[in-house]
Amino acid sequence: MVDQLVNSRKQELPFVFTGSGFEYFRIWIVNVLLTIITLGIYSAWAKVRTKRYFYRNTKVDGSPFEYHARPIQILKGRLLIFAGYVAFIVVNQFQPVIGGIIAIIFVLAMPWLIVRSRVFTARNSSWRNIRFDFNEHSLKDAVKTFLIVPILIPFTLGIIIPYLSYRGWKFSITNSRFGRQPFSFQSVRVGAYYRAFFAMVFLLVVIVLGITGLMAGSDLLFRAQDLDPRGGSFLSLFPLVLILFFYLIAVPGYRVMTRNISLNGTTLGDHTFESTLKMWTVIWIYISNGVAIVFSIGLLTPWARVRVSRYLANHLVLNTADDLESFVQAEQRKTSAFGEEATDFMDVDIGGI
Amino acid sequence: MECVADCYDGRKSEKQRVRLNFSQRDVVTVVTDHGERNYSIQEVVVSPRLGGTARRLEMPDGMVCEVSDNDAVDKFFTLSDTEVPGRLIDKLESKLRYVMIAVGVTSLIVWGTISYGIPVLAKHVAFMIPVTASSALGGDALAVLDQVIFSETELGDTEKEEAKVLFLQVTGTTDPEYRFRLEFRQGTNIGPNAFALPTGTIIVTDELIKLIGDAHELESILAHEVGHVIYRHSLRRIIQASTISLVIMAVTGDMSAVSVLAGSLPTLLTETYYSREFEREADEYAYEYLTNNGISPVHFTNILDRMSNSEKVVGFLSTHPTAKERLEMFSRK
Repeated sequence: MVDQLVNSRKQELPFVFTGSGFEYFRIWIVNVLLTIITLGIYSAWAKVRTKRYFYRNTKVDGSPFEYHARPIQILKGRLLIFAGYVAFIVVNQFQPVIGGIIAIIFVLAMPWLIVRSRVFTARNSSWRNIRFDFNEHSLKDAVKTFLIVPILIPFTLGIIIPYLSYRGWKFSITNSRFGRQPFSFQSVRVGAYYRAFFAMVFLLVVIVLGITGLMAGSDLLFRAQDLDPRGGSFLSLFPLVLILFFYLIAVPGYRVMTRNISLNGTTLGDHTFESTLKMWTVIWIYISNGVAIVFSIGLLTPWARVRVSRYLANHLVLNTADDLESFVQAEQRKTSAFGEEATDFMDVDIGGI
Repeated sequence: MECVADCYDGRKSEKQRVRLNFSQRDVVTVVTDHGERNYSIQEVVVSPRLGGTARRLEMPDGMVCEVSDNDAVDKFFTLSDTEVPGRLIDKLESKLRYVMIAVGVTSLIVWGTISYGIPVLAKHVAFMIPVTASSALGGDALAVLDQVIFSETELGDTEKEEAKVLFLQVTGTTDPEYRFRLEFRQGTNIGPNAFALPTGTIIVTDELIKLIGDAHELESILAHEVGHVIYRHSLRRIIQASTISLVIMAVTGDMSAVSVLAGSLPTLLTETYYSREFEREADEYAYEYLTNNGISPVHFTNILDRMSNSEKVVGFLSTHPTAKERLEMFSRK
């Protein structure tokens, strides 16, 4: 009897995604049309609607997430960024020196913008009416992670990248809170990221060498048979093959592995997470999504997005030590959408997949 | 009228199954195991309907109720003359008819932008940029081409001189701001062909010179290439390509590495379409030059005809209108 009671509190709760491609297609196409007609103004409303659709359809223990940002906040952020960008273009035209200084200031402000963006997203997210939050005083950590370490990438020939991934995830997780309960990131070691990194480097080298061999072989074959010796060599395609495999296999593969490592080391109180993404499945989803989007002239974009969200949710499990009823709300604070829109605009996506 | 809801009090992450009772006009009654609580409908914030997701009713005391029965909520609020936000958008999304219309109108706008909007925009922008700036685009293009495609010319001096005289005739009436220059190269893989760089450098291959039967034929090809420079096609191509990738990003709204790759195919297709338009413009320039100088346009079609019969010019022709189309255009005039 006691055993049963203890067992019933320890549970494996899978994340579930309940959205459908066609349902999201309707929302998406109306968003696109209204955004075009209103010359972009509606994009703020479109963003909120899209985020809400994906949040509400992601559930754990039967309860959905909720996105709370108001479109007007997003619109203000976007207009500010847009005005700043136009001003920058104009200044850059007439005073390139001042333009350059502005660009440098913007890069230096990146860590601050990232913190503001995280705070905005976290405070506008909730589960069971309890808000998430992000540590506002994480600027020092952000400067090290997003400014100083990245500067070292060229000097270390990229060897520092796994360390950067580790810091990025650690920054995201340890500064997050659900209600009053902070997330923690303890059992994770940098070595795991290095193993993932070198596994991908090794894979890339093997694949590229194999294909190069094939190409060189076919070149020789064609030469031997004297088939159009001036028709160009297969080997000249080498840079293309390298870029293709880098973007289609190495980058997503590395991201999948680091995401698994990071989430598996994340805890929320006594609850733990388990991420079981399969690298080749994600790569297949990405490539087939790309093909589907191209051949549907974009119309399958919503289906592709739903497909990714479903896969990501279905391979995340929350292992609970206790029931999930005892998280307590913290006092709530508001924040502006400026950082969120700035980082969105610059396409800054750290630790995401 | 009654329906079930999941209720969260906003203090703890506890889920409570409750019933919502709508039987009293203008009052939402939350029925729990422990009792009832009434809220005036004016104080309850109801979220807009969004697909089939659960509706959120936010109570003034911070409590939230999630209701799956969207219709019941709509009905109750309508009966109470209280406006439910976002009804119009939901109507657009949920009626298949409107969704089809949205698909049609969006496609039409995107198509119009690509085939008319972007070219017109690029043209205006390109002509606003001074010639000196736009010719800087060329940079070391010739050096790169020399490494990748061309080898040194084997033409004799007389052939070169004859071509240069023709070139001076063609470029004689143009603005001296364009710094036109003629270069000869052996085309090898690409066979009989001619190119224009944004710097004003025009390259003709040895193979082309060999293929020329009549001096007017070379003149017409040179005029065509000069047309490319005068109409600033290189600059316009760059403006168009970057605008089109912006449009694709805006519509698909995703900027991951894969979608950038996915976006490159439509970009490639539109580029082919755009370069055909450029060829038409350059053809028109050549046509005007020929008629103004009393030369029959038939010389241009003759040389095009002969170039298309030469087997090695596939690359040249795929981005060009077919020789037949061009012949038709010329004979119409």
